[in-house]
Amino acid sequence: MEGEGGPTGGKDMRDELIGNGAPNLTRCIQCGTCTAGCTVFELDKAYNPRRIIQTFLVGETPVEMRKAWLCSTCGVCTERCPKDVWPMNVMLSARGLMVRSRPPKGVPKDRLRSLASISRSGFAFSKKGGLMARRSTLKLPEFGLDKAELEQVRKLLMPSFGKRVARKSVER
Amino acid sequence: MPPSDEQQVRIGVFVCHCGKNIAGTIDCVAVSDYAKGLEGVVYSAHNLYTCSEAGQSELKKAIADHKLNRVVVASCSPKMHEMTFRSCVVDAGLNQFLMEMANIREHNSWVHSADSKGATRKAMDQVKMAVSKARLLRPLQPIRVRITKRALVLGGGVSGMTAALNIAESGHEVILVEKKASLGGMASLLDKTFPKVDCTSCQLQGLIDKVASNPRIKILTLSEVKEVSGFVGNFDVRILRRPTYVSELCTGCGLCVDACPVTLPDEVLGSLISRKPISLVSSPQAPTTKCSGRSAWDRSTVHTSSMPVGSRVAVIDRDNCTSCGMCAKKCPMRAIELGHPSVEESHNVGAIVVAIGFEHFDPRRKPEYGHTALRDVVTGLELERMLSPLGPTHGNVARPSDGEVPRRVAFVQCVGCRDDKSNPYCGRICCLITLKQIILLKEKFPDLDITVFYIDVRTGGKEYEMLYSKAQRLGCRFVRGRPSGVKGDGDRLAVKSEDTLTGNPVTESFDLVVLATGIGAPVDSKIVSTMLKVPIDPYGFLMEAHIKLKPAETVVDGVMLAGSCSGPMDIPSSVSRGHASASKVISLFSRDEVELDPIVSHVDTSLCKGCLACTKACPFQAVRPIEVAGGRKVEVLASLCKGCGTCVAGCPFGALDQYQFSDEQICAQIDAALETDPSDKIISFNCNWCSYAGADFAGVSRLQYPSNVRIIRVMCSGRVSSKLILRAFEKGAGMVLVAPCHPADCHYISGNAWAKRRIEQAKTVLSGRGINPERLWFVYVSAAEGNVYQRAIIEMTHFLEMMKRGEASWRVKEVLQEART
Repeated sequence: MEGEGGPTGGKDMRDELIGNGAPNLTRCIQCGTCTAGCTVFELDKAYNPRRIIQTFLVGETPVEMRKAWLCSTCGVCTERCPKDVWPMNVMLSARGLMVRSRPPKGVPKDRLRSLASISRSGFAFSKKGGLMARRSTLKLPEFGLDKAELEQVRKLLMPSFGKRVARKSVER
Repeated sequence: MPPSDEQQVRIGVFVCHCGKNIAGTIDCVAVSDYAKGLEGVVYSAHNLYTCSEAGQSELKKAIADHKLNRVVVASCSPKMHEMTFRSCVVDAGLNQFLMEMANIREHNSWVHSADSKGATRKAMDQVKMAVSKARLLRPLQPIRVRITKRALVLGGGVSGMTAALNIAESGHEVILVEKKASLGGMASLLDKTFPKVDCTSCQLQGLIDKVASNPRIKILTLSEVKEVSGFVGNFDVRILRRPTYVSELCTGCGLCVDACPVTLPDEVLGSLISRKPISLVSSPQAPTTKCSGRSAWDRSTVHTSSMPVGSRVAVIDRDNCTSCGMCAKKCPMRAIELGHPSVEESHNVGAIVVAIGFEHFDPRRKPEYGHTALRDVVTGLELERMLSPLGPTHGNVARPSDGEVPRRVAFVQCVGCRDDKSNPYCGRICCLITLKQIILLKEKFPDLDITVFYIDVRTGGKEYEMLYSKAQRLGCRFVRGRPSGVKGDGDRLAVKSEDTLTGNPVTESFDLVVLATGIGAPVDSKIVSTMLKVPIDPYGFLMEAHIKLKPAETVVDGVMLAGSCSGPMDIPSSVSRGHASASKVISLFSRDEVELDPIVSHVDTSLCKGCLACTKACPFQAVRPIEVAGGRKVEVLASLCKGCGTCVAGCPFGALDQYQFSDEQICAQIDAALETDPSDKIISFNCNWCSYAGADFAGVSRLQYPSNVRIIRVMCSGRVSSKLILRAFEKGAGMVLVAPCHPADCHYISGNAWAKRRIEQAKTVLSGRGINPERLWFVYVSAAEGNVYQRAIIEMTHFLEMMKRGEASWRVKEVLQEART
């Protein structure tokens, strides 16, 4: 679990999740079907989607919130949830909130790095570290995006991640 | 027609606050003050609760003090309190039909709770509409019809039998129709019942014997009602009786069952045992014991000798029979006759009790729990059959896969309950069935290890919580968590869950998994609903007239509901609902005549040209041609007329009209509604039975929609003539909506079909006059579809706004131009 803190909790955050991809959040009856079927919970008890949703519902400061990054998005919870809470979507919404906070709080550093890299080069991984050299020894062609294409990528990032998030994370 | 000339119209308006239900949104004082300025109104008041005793006596006092001769009550839906206020004005010496209601609760305050201003404006319009109609009201005398004091009960389960017995014991004849071969219903499949965990058949058999031996009850098993027509006090029913194909010579020896070569999965225990098309049932009306067919699982026990009472007879299920005739050859008594035809009977009854029960949830709809795919996953009902001494295992609980006694058993609660993907409601009895079965299992196997996976254990009911305590005391483990799934684990079963109270995973192996499946709506509810015009809820259950106040009645007079066909119910409730419906039938039968609203059609022969358009429109042959001196005319037979008004709307010369819903009265309502800002408004014609009730349902469900709609109640959408639609557009209405029942559901057989035809005609006329025909909408709304009505109004308002912004056209020329470009 990387990053420090997270967006402020409470009712505002609950409403924001409801308005951003988790409309049925308040319908949860804590039955535990999501956790029971969760492929991550099987390996790591730290990630308990039912409990994360409960902290969102009661409006506690979401120490649990950062755990949303552990979701593998397999979708078993969403398929089996009897109340259509769509737990997977709740986790994705929580991630979105964290990324959109200024400065982004609770987002693992590697995700921020990937984001920055996408904004910079259009790819989730860095070209540095001898990647190109290794490619040329394997006789693989060079790759990359031109300026216009990069603009397009940044345009795509903007609605979800805000204007400067990627650039800022580069500075970090 | 205006009231008699010598008598001046003196209207009193009473605006109800309904506590905060209305006054919380609408400024009732302002509405009451506004009413004072309306033509004909001499008195206007507002009360906290007009329906209360104090409110009613105020109303009566005002009638006397101010010499009122018309009354307008602005309060809840007339479906709620029309009768209350009618009898109130009768007490004050007025004719009951001189009272008109404005529905400012269901159609206003509850659906516009965020738009106080709009709601108050709408309430004023509603009062104005009611006052303009009230000015034209005339005293009418109800039509009296004799009651046939014979009842029809649909369904021979616990509640149906209770109802039948009660009605018969009060001295009336009863026809009890059961689809299956014998009485008893779902209860006959149970071994023991909660809360006392006592023997089902001991109690059920007593009830069956009483019903079977009552001379006033005619029992028709293997029968189905095919058609119902008529109205309260005078229903005509057509019943199809299927034969058993076995005569009374049968001794129940069972040789025929041996001879039958066909095997099929059992109706209930399909995954466990098979049955044959020919089977033995206890005679004459013993519970259907599903075990009596030969069991593939336990071949040594073909005929259970443990049948409790009565002799047994064979019954053939011809739907699955191949007609090979082997049984007939084997029968030593020559009792089998495969050529018996089905017969149809017609009966006249005064009241109908619907007690068609429920259906168990099909566990295959939740494939993650592995029923059918995994043999040792069974439903609660299947376990019940195992526990029963009359069941295929003679009361021994065994794993279907290998016949071994299980050591670890898991119960999974809420399968097909509290689940938006199947049934969102609580099954109400599944928790208690599980608790009862735990006690039974622990009695048989004290060392059995039982785990219950639950979300909440719900034990609302007398002595129910004690069952929970007892199961806990017996050492049963309760894990709060709904399992995600059941998987095979060698020859055992792995249940994967979370203990939500500790947050720990629980993945354990069990020998037997029992799914506590919920209660689903009866399979026949759609058919019965169409046949009797009783609306069904979104889950398929039949709807009561009022969920709290009228649980035994339906919106159709003379049709009652009993038992779990109206929602999940335990046996105590089913019995009390049986009693309740019987008491409604008996109170109906305590009178000799029933009073019907005299809202019939009448003809002005001076205008009639004898074209007979009306006779074609009438679905009840109540309008007939007659030969008079002036040539051919028509007459209306009031006793046959049901008051839909379809003929009135069909008359091209305005010769026909309907009492209480006359052209003049409806036009007055339209004019009143459109006096101010007509282009912003939607005029909505709602039929009394479906869409008016649907709009009420939107209110009860608090479904919000824009406040620019003005609802006009008609008995049937067939009453809405082109004349009324055009009147609304002439007065400048923005949009007009005609909302009928769904095609097969019309209370008057074909009124909605006529409405559809007339809408098409009206659209052509509108185009001819240069009005965009898209401003006239036609939306089917059933009594349960508040959301459909809500959506229609929202979409229409959206369209209206588009027209105002110039994005859609008001006039047809522009529409055509748009189409061309």
